[in-house]
Amino acid sequence: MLEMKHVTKKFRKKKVLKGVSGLLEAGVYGLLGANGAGKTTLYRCLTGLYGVSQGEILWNGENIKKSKTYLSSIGYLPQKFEGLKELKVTEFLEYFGDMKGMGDSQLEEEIPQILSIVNLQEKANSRVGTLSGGMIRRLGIAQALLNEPKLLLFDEPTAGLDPEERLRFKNIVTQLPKDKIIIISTHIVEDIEAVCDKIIVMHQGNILGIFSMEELSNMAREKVFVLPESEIGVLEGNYRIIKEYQNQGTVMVRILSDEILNLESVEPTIEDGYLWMINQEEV
Amino acid sequence: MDDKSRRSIRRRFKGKRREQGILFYVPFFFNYILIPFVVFMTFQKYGLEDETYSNIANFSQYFTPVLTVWWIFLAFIKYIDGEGNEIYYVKNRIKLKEVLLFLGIYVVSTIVPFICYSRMFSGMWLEWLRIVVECIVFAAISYCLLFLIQNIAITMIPVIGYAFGSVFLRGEQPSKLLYYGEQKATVEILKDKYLLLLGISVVCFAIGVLANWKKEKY
Repeated sequence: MLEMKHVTKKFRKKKVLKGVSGLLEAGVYGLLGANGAGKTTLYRCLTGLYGVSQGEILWNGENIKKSKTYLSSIGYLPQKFEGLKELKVTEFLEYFGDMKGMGDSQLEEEIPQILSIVNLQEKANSRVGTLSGGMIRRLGIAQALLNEPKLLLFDEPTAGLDPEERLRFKNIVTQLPKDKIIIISTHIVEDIEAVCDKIIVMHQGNILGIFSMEELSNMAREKVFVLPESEIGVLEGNYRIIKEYQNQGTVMVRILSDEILNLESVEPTIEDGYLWMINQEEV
Repeated sequence: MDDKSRRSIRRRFKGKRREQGILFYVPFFFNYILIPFVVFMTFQKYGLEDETYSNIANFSQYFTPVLTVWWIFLAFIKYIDGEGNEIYYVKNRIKLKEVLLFLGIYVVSTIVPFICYSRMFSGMWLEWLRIVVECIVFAAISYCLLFLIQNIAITMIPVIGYAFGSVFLRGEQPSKLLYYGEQKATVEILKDKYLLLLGISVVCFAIGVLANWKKEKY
């Protein structure tokens, strides 16, 4: 169990995390927030890379600063990850496993299993420098899985990946044992829709809440409308355009509003709910 | 040291060595080929005279201590300047052990040529001890500056500056803070100058550990 109690992180005078609180148990969480919301800073506090300015982070009831087992329980994939290019894939994992204090027999047992999970078995003896971007990201996931961590932190793991690799990532996550806390940070809703049990919404250094998919999308119930772009001008009331797209040659707009009464609302998505929440915060 | 620690050290060193590729062998080129070649050519000309002794002492001091930082800088490119380098700090924040590992292996590697030199001249082991202290000085300065400056390229400037300054700014009474020593290594010189440099190295290592601990720039 991971608990954050009023976690604040300041860099000189700037507060990046403003009293973040939350309790997480085993499951897959999407950490959803815009660029600059504080997701990476939160991750760095959770991994002990940054000390918190105020508040505390507890792992199974114990402050992570005092826990001797916490850091061994973490698997972390940072936003930017590059391997050690001259090493072979297996050597690379041995190197990281060694950093985590794993013994030879444990490495021999875990590495083939992990390579199988991330679908890199055939590249076990290839140099890291010969891998594609998507494969390197999967290798990053592999190193995070070493030593059977109980807390997995993936920071924007699908950024820059093609659709096929993004799907592969989702498949990897669904294969993982269910006794872990997995937090996947992103600003792309589609990447977490299929795999996450709950979504943590973050905005300007605060966690606005932890919601199920249904709860989040229901935030925008009866507040989402779709209409042709040409009809926008006659709308009364305040609204926010959240998407424009083409439908059979017509440009359609999807809008958010709680003031429009003369249109039929459409079924809200998670993204709608997220944007509605953010909109409310900004107003 | 238990088996697990020995295997761990071997694995880490092997990983770093492979990552550096052919560049890893540069110090060996200088210590095992270039300097012995110079010594050999001098020996051919002068035999077992002072000139040969001087060339061993001087050329070893020109290159060997500075090359201590070669492996360290190459290894720390990923730790200091690499993208996503924070991952290397999650479980093992303090990198002093890696610096000492490279320093230790490098110092051991410098023994080989000095075994040969010691057969030519007595007192060569004092020269080697001087080189060892000088290697420690460079390792300490590098570790300290790498984490204070947090940029590999900029850190190289003061390190190389110190190396050049020590060799060329000698004067009649060179400062004890300059690593290079023109005179033959004796026990008195080692006690007088090189113990001081060792003490300064310890301080640099301590500052390096503090800067390493506080590193928050990823």
